[in-house]
Amino acid sequence: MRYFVEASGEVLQVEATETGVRIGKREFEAHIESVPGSDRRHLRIGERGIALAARSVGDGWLIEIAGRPVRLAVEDERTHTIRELAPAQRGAGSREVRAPMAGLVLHIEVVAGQQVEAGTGLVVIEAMKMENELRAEGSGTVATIAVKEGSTVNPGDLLLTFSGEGP
Amino acid sequence: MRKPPFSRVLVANRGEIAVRVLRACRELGIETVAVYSEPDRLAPHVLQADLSVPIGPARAAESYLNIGRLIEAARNTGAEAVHPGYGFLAENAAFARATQQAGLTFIGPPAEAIEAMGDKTRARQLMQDAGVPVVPGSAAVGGGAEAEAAARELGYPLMLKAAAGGGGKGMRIVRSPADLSVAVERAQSEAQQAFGDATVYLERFLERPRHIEIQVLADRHGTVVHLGERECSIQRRHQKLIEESPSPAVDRELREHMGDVAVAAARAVGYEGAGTVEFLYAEDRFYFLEMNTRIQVEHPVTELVTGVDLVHEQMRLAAGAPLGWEPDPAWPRGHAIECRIGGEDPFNAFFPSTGRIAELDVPGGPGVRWDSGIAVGFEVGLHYDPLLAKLVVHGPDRPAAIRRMKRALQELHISGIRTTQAFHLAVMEEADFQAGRLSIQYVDDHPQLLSDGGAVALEAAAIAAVLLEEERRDTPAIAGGKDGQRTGDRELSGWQRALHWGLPGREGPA
Repeated sequence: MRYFVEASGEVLQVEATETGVRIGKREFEAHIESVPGSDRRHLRIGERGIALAARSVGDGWLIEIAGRPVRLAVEDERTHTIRELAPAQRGAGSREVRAPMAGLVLHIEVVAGQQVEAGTGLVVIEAMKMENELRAEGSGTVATIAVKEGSTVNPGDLLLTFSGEGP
Repeated sequence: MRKPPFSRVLVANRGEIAVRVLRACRELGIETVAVYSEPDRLAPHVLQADLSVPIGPARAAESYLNIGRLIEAARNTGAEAVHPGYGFLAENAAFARATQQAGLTFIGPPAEAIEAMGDKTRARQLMQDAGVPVVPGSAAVGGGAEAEAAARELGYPLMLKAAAGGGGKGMRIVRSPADLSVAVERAQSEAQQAFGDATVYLERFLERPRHIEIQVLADRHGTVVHLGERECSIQRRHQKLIEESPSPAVDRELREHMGDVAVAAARAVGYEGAGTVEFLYAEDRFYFLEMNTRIQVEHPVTELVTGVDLVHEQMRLAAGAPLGWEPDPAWPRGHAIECRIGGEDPFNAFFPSTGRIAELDVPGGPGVRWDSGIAVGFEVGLHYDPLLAKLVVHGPDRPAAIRRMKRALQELHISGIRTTQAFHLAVMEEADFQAGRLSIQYVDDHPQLLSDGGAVALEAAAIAAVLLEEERRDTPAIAGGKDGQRTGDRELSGWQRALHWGLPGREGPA
């Protein structure tokens, strides 16, 4: 089966074969084994061995080599084709800011309706004794604020939303 | 064997430094008492201690910072002395005094020395009087107007610092007058929260200085020696990430000069025990930054190039023993590097990462030291400092030490939490680091070190992902899992594994 693998913005077409994979015209003898009871894997490409850790995530895999993570979205050819034919509707100009970590909301530096520019401070979250300021990545208008000062948040919790272009 | 300096010592700390001190105690034949907060009840430092005492809930203010509970624990267990580690109460003069008033020995300097160096504005004055060069700066500033006046005199850019500070908390760079009042407010708030004292002051900001510090040891009988320098320029938000000894910028002459100044600084406050005098070094000049009146996180690099066990020495000196030896002119021997392995995601702005340590394979082999406060099954939470462990290597020279660190980092495997491992590996491979071109702006000057993926062989990762995807699709859905598929991080049962190994076309050498 042929797969479309996307990582760091690059898409690679990789075809699984009986003995390994084919990328373009290049054939690789390759296989992968799990270390039992562990997330460690041993990838062999020909005689070359690569130790890595792998975890299944959402639409693909999180692969770590010497602690360096790469998130790879893996899509088979059929799914890819269907998706290409019917592009998903993008959200109607609404963008969200979510908590990147667990912590305590110390300050909220904007109010609903406020215009922000790239770099405007939005929310200060305290975690592990450090104050971490989340800033806008672009310009936009704050639509809603989903947390209060003093709230405890978990990673991925919604903090605020933007209307218009959104940062 | 020499008589132990104490029969029983309470370690008023947690994490890797508690483990480090416990190790020293056991080597000296001293019985150990650990203290722990509720979530730390099965932490490595507790499991390794002879006795252990619960001291309160997770919140540090009610446990590791609770002087009453700690003194009570020491008394009830018959400890003779208290080792504070670093952080928490290590530089708290009230704690040093309370320890002594309870008839216990504080393994650290006299309370007066902690106070003298703890108030950064007073320390600057004391150092100037002792002939130690300091960075030009102001007295304490109360509010916006005072800060503005002081700032006009010093010029921009400048540095805001907490008078009671340390460890980078409450510190802010201010590049223009427009940013000053907000920065003062934020620094005061951070200082209040971290140290219970909102006092801040201003210093001239040096462009791209190196952070170089001198380790000193002082006995009660007037002997003060230095053990050379550590370079700790690789920092992020004033938190050190990588340290080494010797510094690539320091030759023998400069080492002796800085060493003599550091010894004078220690003498000026009547220092006893192990301490560190920190300097900024720029354009062939060095300036006193502060003195840390405790054992430091990065003490192992000095231990590796001198062979002196600094924690053993702390115990002996606290018991009143004379130093009894002189620094070896052949020091530093070889080169040592330390990487702080933090529970932070270097590819997501070093945001703290939490979770249970699922797997931990620690590097070993020649010249590798692992000082750690974590173990498999241990839950890393948000309550404490994110430092998980220190990976330290020793080699015959700097290039060899870098190569050794690189291979040790490649051996390290931690899962269950994101760590700074990959950042360190990227630094070891970076040209300026390898050439010893360092400054405290190093991390900001090399943003590519923080970009996701970096030098990973994307193609190899893509091959792995496709093989894993095929494997997953070929494996019948068994034994649940919310999508009926086997996920990568679940352990396989015996017969599942047999099925997995038995897949056609995936057996034998490729």
